[in-house]
Amino acid sequence: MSIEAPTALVNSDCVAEAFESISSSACSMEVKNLGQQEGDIVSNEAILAVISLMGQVDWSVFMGLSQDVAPKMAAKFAGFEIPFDSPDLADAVGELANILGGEVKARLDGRGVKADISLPSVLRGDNLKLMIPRDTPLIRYHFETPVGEVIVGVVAGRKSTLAAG
Amino acid sequence: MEIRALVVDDSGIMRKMVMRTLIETKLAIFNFTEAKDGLDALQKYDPQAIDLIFADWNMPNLCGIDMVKAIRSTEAEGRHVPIVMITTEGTMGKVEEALNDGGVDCYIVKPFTVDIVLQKLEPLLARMAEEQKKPSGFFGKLAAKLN
Repeated sequence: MSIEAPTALVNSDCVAEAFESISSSACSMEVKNLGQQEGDIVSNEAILAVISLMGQVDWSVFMGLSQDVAPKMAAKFAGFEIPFDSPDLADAVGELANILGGEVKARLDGRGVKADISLPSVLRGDNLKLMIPRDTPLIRYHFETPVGEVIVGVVAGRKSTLAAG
Repeated sequence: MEIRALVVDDSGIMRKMVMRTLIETKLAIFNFTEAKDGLDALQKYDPQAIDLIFADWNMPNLCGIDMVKAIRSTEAEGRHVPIVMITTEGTMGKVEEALNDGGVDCYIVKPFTVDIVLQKLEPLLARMAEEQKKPSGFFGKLAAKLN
């Protein structure tokens, strides 16, 4: 399903492209973009990594992995097993988010859009629900990967709306 | 060649991956010291005990590029510890900033493979080996001291 991107999320296709790219380069995985999705993001035991891009965009890029998928993806990345309950899992997922952020930044730079990336934040818990203020621009992609489904998306801050307008 | 390397990254997983990849290149026998950010690295860095530094850019407390500038600003004349930046910052502006103004000798963008690291590091390590042979060079003097 194709959804027209709000102005603040122009160029947000960089995020989907970046995830496809780093899945291949960092995890040796070919992934399939199932398209944009709507509705609440709710997951049982899961990990959510967030990294911000600030500059000519004001984005929070997020990556959501279920309890089942996170250790498998981390193992693909690190080259060794990392249990879900291990602190190293948050470290590995955070580093993947870091690489994703860097790739998004590079792709935006190629389009003449300048931004800096933050350090990543990683959350882990039960029944995680992504809640954002009403009318905040959000795009979410679902990817099918060899290790399971991954959610990747971007939320735009107010500055993006102003910058794009 | 034996190399005493300082590996600086706020991710423990990434430090392990860097060290494992370096070992897999078989370019040298590496002895590693780890640091979790730029500040930790400055506290652990000893010019007499470290031959080569691998550093991330974006880290808490003190970022990689500022760590590099701090090391360069305090280096004695004639001394130059080679520093390799391993980072997700892959834009041309950042690469140029690090190599031209920042005092970085080599730049590797994450994610990396053994082949990429080999390709990037071989010339640098070859220069280090040559320098080690010179009696007047820094590494030559160090080698003479150790012998």
